[in-house]
Amino acid sequence: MSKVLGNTLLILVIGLLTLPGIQRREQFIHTHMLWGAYTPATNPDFFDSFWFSGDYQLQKTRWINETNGFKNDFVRLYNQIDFSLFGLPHATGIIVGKKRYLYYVEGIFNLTGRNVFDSSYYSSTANRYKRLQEFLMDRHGIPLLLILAPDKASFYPEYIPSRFLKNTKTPTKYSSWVHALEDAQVPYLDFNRYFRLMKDTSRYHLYPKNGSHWSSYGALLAFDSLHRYLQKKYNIRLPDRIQEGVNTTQELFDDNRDLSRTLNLIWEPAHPSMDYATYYFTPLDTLKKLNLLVVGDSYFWQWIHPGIIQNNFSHYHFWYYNQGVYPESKKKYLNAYTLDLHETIPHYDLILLLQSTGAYLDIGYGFIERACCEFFYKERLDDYMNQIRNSEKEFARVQQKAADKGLPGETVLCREAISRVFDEIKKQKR
Amino acid sequence: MIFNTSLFLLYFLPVFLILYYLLAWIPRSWPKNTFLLLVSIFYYAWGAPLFVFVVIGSVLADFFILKEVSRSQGGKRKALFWLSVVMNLGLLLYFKYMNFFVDQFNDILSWFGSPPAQWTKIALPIGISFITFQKLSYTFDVYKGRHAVVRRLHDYALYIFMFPQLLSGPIVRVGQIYDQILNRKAQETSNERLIGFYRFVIGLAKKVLIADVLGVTVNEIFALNSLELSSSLAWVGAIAYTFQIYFDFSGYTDMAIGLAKMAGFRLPENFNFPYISTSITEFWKRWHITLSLWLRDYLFLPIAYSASRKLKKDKYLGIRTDKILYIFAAAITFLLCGFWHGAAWTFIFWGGYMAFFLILDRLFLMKWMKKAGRVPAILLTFFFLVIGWVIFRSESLDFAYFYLCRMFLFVTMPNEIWLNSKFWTMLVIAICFSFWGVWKRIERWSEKLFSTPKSLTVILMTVAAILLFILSEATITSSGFSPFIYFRF
Repeated sequence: MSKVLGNTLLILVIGLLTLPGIQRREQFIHTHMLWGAYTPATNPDFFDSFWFSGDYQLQKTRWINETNGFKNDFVRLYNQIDFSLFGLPHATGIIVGKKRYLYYVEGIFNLTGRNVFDSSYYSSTANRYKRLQEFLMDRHGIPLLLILAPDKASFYPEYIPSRFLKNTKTPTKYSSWVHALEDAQVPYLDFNRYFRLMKDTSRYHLYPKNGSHWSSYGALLAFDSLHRYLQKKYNIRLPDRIQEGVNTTQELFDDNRDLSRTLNLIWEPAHPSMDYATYYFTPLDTLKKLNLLVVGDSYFWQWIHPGIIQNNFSHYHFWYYNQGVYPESKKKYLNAYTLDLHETIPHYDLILLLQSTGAYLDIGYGFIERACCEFFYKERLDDYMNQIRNSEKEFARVQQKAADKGLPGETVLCREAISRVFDEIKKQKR
Repeated sequence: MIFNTSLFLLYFLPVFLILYYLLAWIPRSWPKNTFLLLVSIFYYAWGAPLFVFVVIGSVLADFFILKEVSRSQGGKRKALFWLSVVMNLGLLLYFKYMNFFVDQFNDILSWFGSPPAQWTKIALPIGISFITFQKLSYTFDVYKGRHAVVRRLHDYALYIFMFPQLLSGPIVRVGQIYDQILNRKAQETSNERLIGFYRFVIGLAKKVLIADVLGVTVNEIFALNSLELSSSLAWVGAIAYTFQIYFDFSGYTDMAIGLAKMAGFRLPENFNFPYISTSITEFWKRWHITLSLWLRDYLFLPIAYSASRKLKKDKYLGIRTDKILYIFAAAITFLLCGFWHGAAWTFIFWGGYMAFFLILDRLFLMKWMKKAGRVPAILLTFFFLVIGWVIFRSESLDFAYFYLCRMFLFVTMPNEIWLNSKFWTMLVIAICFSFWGVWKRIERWSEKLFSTPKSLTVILMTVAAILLFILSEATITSSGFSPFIYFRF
C-alpha cells in the first residue's frame, strides 16, 4: 500500500471523526428534529458542578452524548435498523405487532384486563358523572356527554403480539366502565363498539396502521354519529356535512402516523393507503352556533385539525387531559385548574368528555371529580385547599409531588384536596 | 472516560490524534510522549478525579524506590523491594478489599451478637487492579534484574498511565514497551495506524453491538426469582453471559490494542479464541493471556519454587512431588486470581473452581480430553466454563447455587422475559465469531489480511470500518433515548 493512500485514508478517518463536533457548532447539514417527549440532559456548569465527586464528568458525558452534531441522524439510523431487522421500537409505550402494526401499550393492557380497579371505583365515578350531568342540564341547560373513543387494540386484536395475549383476564377497564355506565343509566356514546361493528363493512380504513388514533375518515364518521346523536337526544342542530368525494393516497397526515413518527425512523413503515374525504359544511346563518367545551385527549385533535369543530361551533375550548387549555395554550400555557368552574362552565352550550379507551386513566381525566366538588362540595374543597396552602409541610409535599410528576403545582394541590373531599364523603357514608 | 462514549469517540479521540500526529512529525520522542502522558493523566483524572493523585503519588514513589533498588545490594535492596510491594498491595487491599474485609468482620461480630463496626464504604477507583499489577510487574522485574530500571520519570509515568491500556489492560511488562517508548518510528506508519483504527472499531462493535445487547437480556434473566426462572431461561442466561463477558472484555482489549497501535505502540494480545479450548489449562492460555502470564511468572512459579525447596523427596503419599507442587501453587494462584477479579466470595469460589479443573487436567483430565477428540473436548470445556461464569456473574454464593440448581433441575414455567430476535441474532453471531477460530485457515487469512494488505483491500477495510464505527456510534448515541409519545402526565 502506498504511503500517499495510507495518509489520505488516515486523514479521511480523522476528518470524519471530527465532523459531529463541527456539525454541532456550525450546523452545516440540516437534520430533522426528533419526535416525542423526553427530558433533555443539561450542560453542567464547571464552576457549579463538583469535579471531585465525579458529578460534572457524568453530566457532561451525558450532555455530549445527547448533543453530538449528528445525534438525530444516529438515532434514526439505529431505530431504523432495529425496526426493519428485528421489529423493535425505541419509544416508550409503543409496541410493534404482527405485520408491523403499531400499538400503544396501554390499549393492549386494557384489552387484556390489566390495571383494573375494584368495580366500586367505576360505579362511583359513573354515579358522579350522572349527578353532574343532571345538575348541568337542570341548572344551566348544558348537555354533558361522555364519548368513549375507539381503541386500536380492540379494533385490531389480530395483530397484537401473542406474548401479550397469554394472560388475558376479565373484566377489562372498558367492560368495567360500560357496565358501570349502563348500571347508572347515563347516556354516553360508545365509539369503541361502533367501530368494531363497522370494521368489516367499512369501505375505508377506520384506523391507520402507523397511528394510535382513529383515521381521518374514522374521525369524520365518528363526528357524523355525534352530530346525529346530539340532534336526536338534545335537539342540537349542527351544520350538515356534504361529502364531495374520498381521496385514497399513500400520503399519511401527521394525525395518522403519531406512533411511527415517535419511532423516529428514516422512512415511514409500509402502510396501506389512507382515505381522506373532501367535504364542506352548510353555513349556519339561521342557526345559533354553539359554544363548546371538550375535556379529553388527543383523539380530539382530529376534529380540530381538519376544521370540523371550527365549522360546527362558534367557539370552542379544549382542556387537553383536563390541564392545558386550548387554543390559548398555543401562545401561553393556561392551566384548567386555575379557572373558576362556576364562572367558566355556564358560558358553554355543550360539554363533551372525549375519553380514549386506550387510556382510561380516570373518565374525564379528573374533570368529573373536580366539577362535582366545585358544584356540590365547594366549601369542603376550599377548606382542604386552604389547609394544604397554609401548612408549610403539606404545601412543600404537594409542590414536590408536582415537580416529580411534571405537573403544575395548582393541579396537584386541587387534586389532593378533591381526593380528601371524597375520602371524607366515603367515611361519612360508612 | 470510557472508550464507548460519544465524548471519547467524537471529541477526545480526534483531538488527541490530530495533535499527536502533528507532534509525531518532530524527530524526537519526548514531545509526543509528554503529550501522551499529560493526556493520559487527564483521561484518568476524568474518571477518578481524586484517586488520580494517589496514583501519581505512588508512581513517583515507585520510581524513586526502584531507582534506589537498582543501585542497592543485599538487605537494603530487599527492604526497598518489599516497600514497593507493600505500598502497591496496600493500596489495592485498602481501596478494593477493605469493604469486603469489614463486611466479613461484621458478620463474625454478628454471630457473637456484637454490634457491627462502623465503617464508611470506600468507592472503588477505576483501573486499580490493572495499575497495581502493572506496577508490581515492574517492581519484580527490576528487583530480579530482568529489566533495567527506567531512567526517566516521565518514561516510567507514561508506561503506567498510557491511556489505551490504563483501565482494563492488557497488563504490559516494561520489557514489552520500554523500547517503544524510547523509539517507535518504525511502527508509526499510516498502514499501522489504519490497522489500529480497524482493530479499535472491531473492538467497539464487539462491545456495543454484541456484548451490550446480550447484556440487557442477561441482566433481566439474572434478576428473576424462583417463581419466574425456568430451566430453559437459566441456560439461555448462562450461555448468553458466557458470550457477553467474552465480547465485552475482548472488545475492550481490541480497542486498547487498536488505540495503542494508532499511537505507534504494539501491545501484547490478550485473547485468542478462548472458547475453542480443549481444556481449562488451554483456556487460560487463550483467555486474558497477559493476566495468566503475570500470574504464572509472579505468583505460580515463585510459590512452586519456594515450596519445592521445602519438599526434598520425589513422592509424598504416592503422589509425585512435581504434581503436589503444581496442585499447591495452582490452588493458591487461582484463589488469588479469583479474589483479584472482585471482592466477593463468588469470585474466590470461581477461582477455586478454575484451580480444581487445572489440577484435574494435570492429573488425568487432559489425557482423557485428548482421547475423546477435539470437538467433544471443546464442548465439554465450554460446558465447564459456562458453569464457572454463572458463579462469576452471581451476586452471592446462595444465588449461584439457586441458579445452577435451576439449570439442572428441569423446572418448566411460562417465560417471563421476551427473547426478541435481536438477542437471538447477536447470540448466534457471537457463537460464530467465538468458534470460527477452530478453522486454522481463518486465522491465517486474518493474519494475512492485516499484515500485508493491498491498496484495494485497505480502501475496502477503511470503508467497512467507517460504516461499523457509524453503526456503533449510532447505538451509543441512541441508548437510553426512548421518548414518550406525548408529554408525561
